[in-house]
Amino acid sequence: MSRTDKYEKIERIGEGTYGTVYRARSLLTQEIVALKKVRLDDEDDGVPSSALREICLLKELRHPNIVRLLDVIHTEKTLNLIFEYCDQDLKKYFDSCNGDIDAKTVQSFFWQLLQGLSYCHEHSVLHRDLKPQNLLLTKNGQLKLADFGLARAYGIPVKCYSSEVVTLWYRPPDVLFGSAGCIFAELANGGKPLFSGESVDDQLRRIFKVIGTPTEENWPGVSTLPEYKPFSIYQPTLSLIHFVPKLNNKGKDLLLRCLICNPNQRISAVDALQHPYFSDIQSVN
Amino acid sequence: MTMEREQLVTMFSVEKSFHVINKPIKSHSKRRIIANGLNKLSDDEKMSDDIFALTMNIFDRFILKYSQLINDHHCQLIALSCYSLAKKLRTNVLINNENEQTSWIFLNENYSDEEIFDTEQLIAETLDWDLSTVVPHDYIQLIFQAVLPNEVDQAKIRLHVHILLSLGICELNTLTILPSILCCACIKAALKGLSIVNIHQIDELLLKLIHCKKSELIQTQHMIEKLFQSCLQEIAPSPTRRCLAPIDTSNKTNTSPRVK
Repeated sequence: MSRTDKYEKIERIGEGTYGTVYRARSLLTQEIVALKKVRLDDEDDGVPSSALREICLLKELRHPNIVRLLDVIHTEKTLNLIFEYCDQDLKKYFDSCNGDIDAKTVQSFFWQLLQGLSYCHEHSVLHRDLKPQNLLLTKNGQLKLADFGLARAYGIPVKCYSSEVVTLWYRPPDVLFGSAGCIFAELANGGKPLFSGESVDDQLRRIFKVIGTPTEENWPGVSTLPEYKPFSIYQPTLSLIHFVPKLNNKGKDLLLRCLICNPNQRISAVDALQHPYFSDIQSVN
Repeated sequence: MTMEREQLVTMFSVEKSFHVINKPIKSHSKRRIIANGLNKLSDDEKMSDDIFALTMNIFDRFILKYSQLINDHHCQLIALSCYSLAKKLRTNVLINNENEQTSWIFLNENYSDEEIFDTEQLIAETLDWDLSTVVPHDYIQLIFQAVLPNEVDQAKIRLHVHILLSLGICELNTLTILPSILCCACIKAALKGLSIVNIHQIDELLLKLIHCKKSELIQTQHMIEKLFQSCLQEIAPSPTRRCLAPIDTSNKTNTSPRVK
């Protein structure tokens, strides 16, 4: 049996940033897997950099909240990435639960997301494309970060991390960690995005209306940033609490800390795990 | 433990997992020429220096693992493909689309897209897709934060550290020295050259931070200083030039199929 014959495709389940994803079965172990197929002859650039990053970074990252890459099968025309199988993504989960997710599940999913993120940050890896479609869920309620095609290792300072790398609706003013906050709010609202902007400017306006426009007073140096342009000054409103009515007070406090514009003041994934919102989970762990 | 310390611990364990022990290091006979050419190419394309370091690390690991004979043409093709892989892994591809069409001229040969992509795949398969590793440049900021809090001092020595690192990577097989030790040795050499701080205090802090033998750090530092001295003699008329063995590629730039 050649290596590619080891898996039998069962059905097509979606399209990733590159290539098609299938549910497949290992003929050796009968295990169900996800098979991501990248056609190399369609590519102008050889192995796409997104596939290359995903393979190389996921080989390093082994954590229960990060999807496992099980195998890479390379043929002349295709590159097949074999991942552990997860039943659905968070987007489909949102669609299935009609805007109602219980508080315990919200807390558990956000806790797991933060665990995965803080492990990535320890390994100097930025995911850079956090969104519900890239968060997979297993039958047992385990959440796993997937699709590292835009991720990069960040040992060295890079001129600019944002611009075009994050899907618009989950893009915080700075992409490092705020995306997690947007997902937290969406979880708490049963799947309704916190900020659903139609363009970059519209998105920023919607964000600033809630958390206030960054100014030199609350973010020294902001006006010297490469893509800075002045916006109408919106005062930070406490209306965020109206956006997430179902979230308890500790949760609201944590959300506010995740969405602070100035990245130096925004809470990190590691610190967020220590927040009182998670006190009952912390005592179990 | 702070996030920076945790990152350092992870990076040490990654670099150790790539480190070759109990095995003779095999370098390609043309490594120096290849490294100098790649250094100039990445400089011309305004790539950050860590991309050159990753390129040479992939190149050195491939040469060690690949058992078939490699002629000069093939060796340059491998080098270019390593560079292409390093760029795919470390540049902000979506932002740097314009880099795609930049110079692919290397020495006096041209290579087609297909040749480069086939070789990229050969390299990835040979190294079992273990391509993304830690390079000395990844340590600079973390080490600065720990041992050199003064930002003015940091700015002063950063460029010097980068030049010494490029020099070290051009001349020494990257598998012979751990990236953390090479980085510390270059930082020490730069501090000493610029007489910035008390070297003995820095020594203690560095050794505590990277857990290496003092003798090993000193030996690497001496090696870098010696390389630097000999290159100063070679390039005395233009000390600012990064590429130490000049390769003229300028008259060939119009003949490549890659230049559009």
